Amino acid sequence: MDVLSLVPVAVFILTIYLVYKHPSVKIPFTSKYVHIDYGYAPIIGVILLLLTFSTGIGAVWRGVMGVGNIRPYSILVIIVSFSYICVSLDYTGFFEYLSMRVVRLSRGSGKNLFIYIFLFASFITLFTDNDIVILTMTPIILYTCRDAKINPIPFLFSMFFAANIMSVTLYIGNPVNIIAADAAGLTFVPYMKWMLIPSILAEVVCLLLLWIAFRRKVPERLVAPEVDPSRTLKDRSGALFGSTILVLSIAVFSISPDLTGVAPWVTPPFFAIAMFLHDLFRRRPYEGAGGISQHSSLKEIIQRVPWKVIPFIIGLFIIVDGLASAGWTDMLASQLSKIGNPVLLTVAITYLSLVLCNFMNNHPASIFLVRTFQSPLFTVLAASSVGSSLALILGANFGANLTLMGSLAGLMWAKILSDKGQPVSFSKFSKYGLLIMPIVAAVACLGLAAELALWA
Amino acid sequence: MMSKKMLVCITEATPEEVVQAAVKLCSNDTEVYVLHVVHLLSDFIRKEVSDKFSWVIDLFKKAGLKSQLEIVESTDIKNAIISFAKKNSCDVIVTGTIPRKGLLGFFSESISDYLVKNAPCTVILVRKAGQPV
Repeated sequence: MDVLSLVPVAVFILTIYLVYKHPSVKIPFTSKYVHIDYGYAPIIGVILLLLTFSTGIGAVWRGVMGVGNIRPYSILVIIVSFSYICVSLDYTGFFEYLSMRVVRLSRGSGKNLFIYIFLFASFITLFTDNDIVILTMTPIILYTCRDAKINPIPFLFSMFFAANIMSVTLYIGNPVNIIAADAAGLTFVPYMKWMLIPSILAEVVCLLLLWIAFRRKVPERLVAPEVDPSRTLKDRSGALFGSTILVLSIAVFSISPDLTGVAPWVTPPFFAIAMFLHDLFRRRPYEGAGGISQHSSLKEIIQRVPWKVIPFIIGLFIIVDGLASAGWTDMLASQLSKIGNPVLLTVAITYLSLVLCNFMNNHPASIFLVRTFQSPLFTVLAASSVGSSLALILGANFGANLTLMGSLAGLMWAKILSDKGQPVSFSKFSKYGLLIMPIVAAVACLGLAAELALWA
Repeated sequence: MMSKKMLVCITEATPEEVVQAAVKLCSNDTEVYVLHVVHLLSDFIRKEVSDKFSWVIDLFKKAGLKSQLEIVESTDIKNAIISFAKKNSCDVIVTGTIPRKGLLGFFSESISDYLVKNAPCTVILVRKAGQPV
């Protein structure tokens, strides 16, 4: 290690800072500002690495095409395809409709509403990004609680925590799952076989702990709003078509590539294209009261697809490649390899990932750890190798519940709540996160360790 | 300063002071758009938002001013406001400020900060008396 090896570290830290801070920077000699968000920050990082000769064009190529099992391009195709399908489905009002049905299902019981919100958020997060859960359910919860004149905080926490627990169950539940599972060579069904039990254990323990924490704040009875859920549906046939496409895309995606001979990342774009064509021919904006378009159009759907995840993930792969070249991933790999016991290693990586997420966000933390596991100095048994990737996924998902810094979705949620006059401070969130998540993580990773001991 | 086309941005956190300040800035011929941005605009949401912000329209009405509630669907609130102001050639945007403290305040730019930097017209920020900046 020399002074030059610190350059990639400095660039990595700067990139993480920019991702969190996303500052508006004035463009010199103009009156315009550029918003450096999570899409631009890694690009700046890569440019800095190239300018300081800390990385070369080869690393940029590896950032796109990947190293070993990791293929960033295939990861991105899967993420963007499923995102398009889910965003388009969301714009039909489908998730909002289901949310309102959940509210009605509670039949005026505070306890039921608390549990149903938790279970419903868990269900949606199985196959969508957390953003959709948060954007859909937060307004419904606030509306229901304001109408019933009750404190929305327990229900909001129930929704947010659930969104980051069950997201570990399926390969497509979170982009970090795809990154780590792809690197470990796990496809849909083998991934689910490993993660089903730990996620159910985590779900039960988290619900129990949340209930203990909030039980005094949840009213026994509440007057649920009398709203016909169908009024939240904007496009009934679109919702039917979209949900069918989503189910089919997951079903086809789950078929083993050994049976089809087709790589898993090839099929989701076809379903996304089918959804796109449906949107292209069906969605027509109409003029609202002020002559303003008040209907979701194809343009809005396309704008909401997280395109910036492309430069974000590729840029991070390149920056982490710089860290790997400077020996930082080797250093961590050799330290982790000293933990010989597979159970201890699973626990250590879960907690390491849980904590790292809250210092560097879950995507960078996952990519850094994935590259660490690829190091030749990461000398563990094959079972421990798969276990390490799965433990990383547990920590990277659960880490978003530890503090609001664990994921960008957490920061987005805090901003939405603040704008809606229901602020949740960093310390208030962390109080519950730090109390609940270490226990949830312990139960889940012990479940995973038991599976590894029995089946690997 | 009297504006011809005013955009008043409202959220659930907007205090009455913001609307009252906007009323004071209007002349009889000012066209007032009261804008609220939602994630998804269904019939249910349209009705809910109309009911929720009827007090804003009423305040303008009491002052003898005409205003219209506009509901725009977007997940990018900041840019939705800017686009609306541009599309309708608004000459002033009136909005409240929401204090963001601590770590979240450090890491998140408020909508009002963004509007000040990027709006195509005058932006007036109204702080409720006693509210921290």
